[in-house]
Amino acid sequence: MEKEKFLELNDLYLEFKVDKGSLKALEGISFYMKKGEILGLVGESGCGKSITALSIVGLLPNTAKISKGEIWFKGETLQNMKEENLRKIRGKEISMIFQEPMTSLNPVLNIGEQVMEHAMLHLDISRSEARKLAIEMLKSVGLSRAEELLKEYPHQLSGGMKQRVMIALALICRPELIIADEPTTALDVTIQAQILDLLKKINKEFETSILFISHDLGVINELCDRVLVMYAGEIVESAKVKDLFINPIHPYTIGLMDSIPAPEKKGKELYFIPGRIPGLEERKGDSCRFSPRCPKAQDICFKEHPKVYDVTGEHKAMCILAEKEES
Amino acid sequence: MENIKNLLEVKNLKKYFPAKRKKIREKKRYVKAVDGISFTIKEGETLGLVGESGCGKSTAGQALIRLIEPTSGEIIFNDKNITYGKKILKDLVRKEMQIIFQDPYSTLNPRKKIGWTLREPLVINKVGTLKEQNKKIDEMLDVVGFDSTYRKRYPHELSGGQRQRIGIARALMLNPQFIVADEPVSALDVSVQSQVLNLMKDLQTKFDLTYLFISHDLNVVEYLSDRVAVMYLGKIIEISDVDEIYRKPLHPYTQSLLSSIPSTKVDNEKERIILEGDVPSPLNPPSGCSFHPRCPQAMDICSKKEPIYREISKDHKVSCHLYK
Repeated sequence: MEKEKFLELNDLYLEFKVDKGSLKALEGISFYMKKGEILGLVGESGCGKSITALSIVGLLPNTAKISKGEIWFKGETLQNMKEENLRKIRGKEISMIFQEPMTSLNPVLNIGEQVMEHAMLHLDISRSEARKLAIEMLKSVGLSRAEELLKEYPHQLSGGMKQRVMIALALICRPELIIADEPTTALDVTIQAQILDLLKKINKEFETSILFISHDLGVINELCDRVLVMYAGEIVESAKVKDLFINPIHPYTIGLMDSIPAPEKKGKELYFIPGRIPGLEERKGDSCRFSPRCPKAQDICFKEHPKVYDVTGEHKAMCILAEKEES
Repeated sequence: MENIKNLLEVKNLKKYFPAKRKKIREKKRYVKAVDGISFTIKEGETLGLVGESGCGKSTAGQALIRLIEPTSGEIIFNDKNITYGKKILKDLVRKEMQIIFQDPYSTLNPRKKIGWTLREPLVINKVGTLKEQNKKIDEMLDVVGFDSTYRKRYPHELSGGQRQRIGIARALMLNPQFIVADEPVSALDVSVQSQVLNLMKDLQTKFDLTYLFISHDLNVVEYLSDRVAVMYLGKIIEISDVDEIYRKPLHPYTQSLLSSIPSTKVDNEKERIILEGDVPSPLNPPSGCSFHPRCPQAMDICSKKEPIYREISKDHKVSCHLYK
């Protein structure tokens, strides 16, 4: 087992079946994660962030199919694994936290049942042990009334508390990887700050790796070590968070950063990226996917798909402009 | 700014919703969604209204333009009391005060063309002939950046940002003076969000609009507002100029709210005040200052006595026992 890259996606292509053939949702996604790392995945709605996450845990909808590429997790490939084997990994070694804490808990089961079921299924422990573990876990995510909470139902909890329960659920088997898909988007800033703090703590204490999906560059900056920027089914830039913010290369990344309303931009016109993200059926041909919206597009961008250039060490960008920067 | 008159003056506005009784013969209980707020908005100004979900900011916005009827209090608009009465609602409020909603996907009728949606306010208020209405619709479409062919489009043909621009155009059809923008960019991606913000700013100068800008996104509020009011559990706990409040927040809640904004600056060594717990239920608010159970600086008096909402320095009001 390679410790350096314990999760690796290699040239992953994903297609959705439609009436007239298929549409590509992911095209050549390659990235790796190191153990204990918090990796951010940022992009606008419809760019393929969530589907990337779902393909790792094998929770794709029936119409989606991985047409090419590999997903390696601790020396095993996940994409062709049998459902029953995958089920052992999912929840135990890789768990997920979803965006909507309101809809991801079962409304007719109390919190205790849901947390304990998970532990009993994967850890093969008795009910009373599971109960003990559940209480301990709920306490560790900052829910002090854990004993009472076990008997309560999701509708009795606030959004922030539900998200904590979800995190406790995700953590109970001590997974090595947590995939968090916009876990704070539905929450208020003060609660968001609590949850981010908690994720950082978990990452330090248990050495849990976190794949953190978000559309908010601010949150990514606060939490992550490294970041991938996605656009229209491709990873267009990847770098250490610091490098990305100091020296963004891809015009899309720059556009995203410029459109954030910051104090120093008050009174000035805000930058916006013209046009919109192309739909799946519009992603054809060999051009750079961002070229129709790109302020720096050259002739070549409309003809040739850019390759990925290495800027420095871990900083990569899929843009012709990065050619100059290449070291 | 001194001589500019107040367009809107709100005095002790309250909106209580009756809560379901759990037992027969239980005393009637109320959710105090908006519990006595007072503020003024000057002509041409943008007042930002921030707070966490459930603090009553949307209810306040809707009660202000009487989309829901206030329980008590006074709303003075252009020196006229508009709080009660059907006639004034029809003649004045509906024409001069408009709202832009949060979710552009559910606020446009999916079965009607854009032209129909934009015409509706004119038809209801019997403004102009068909020809004049058409002219007005084309004008408005142009203002928000569409050509007249968009009259024949359906909402599903438009993206989120485009729909929100239609929502803005609809709000402007009757040339209102005052607009409540209730989280207008929260459902949009950042790159599109900035386009809508720019548009709102342009329109403000073009049509002399006054905004109440409701949002939970503190970056957006800072960018757009002249003054900011912070709400907590149905009350305004601090109000001031935007620069003053962002640089020198007084109320501990405002301080922690501002410190929780995720920053995009590298090497950001900001001290973060992380609040414990959640917003209490407005059905059963804590005694004294409603923020005291979460307040890092709470004193004995905070749980006993409600602080007075008072002016600390010029145009800076706060309701907290720390400031006397």
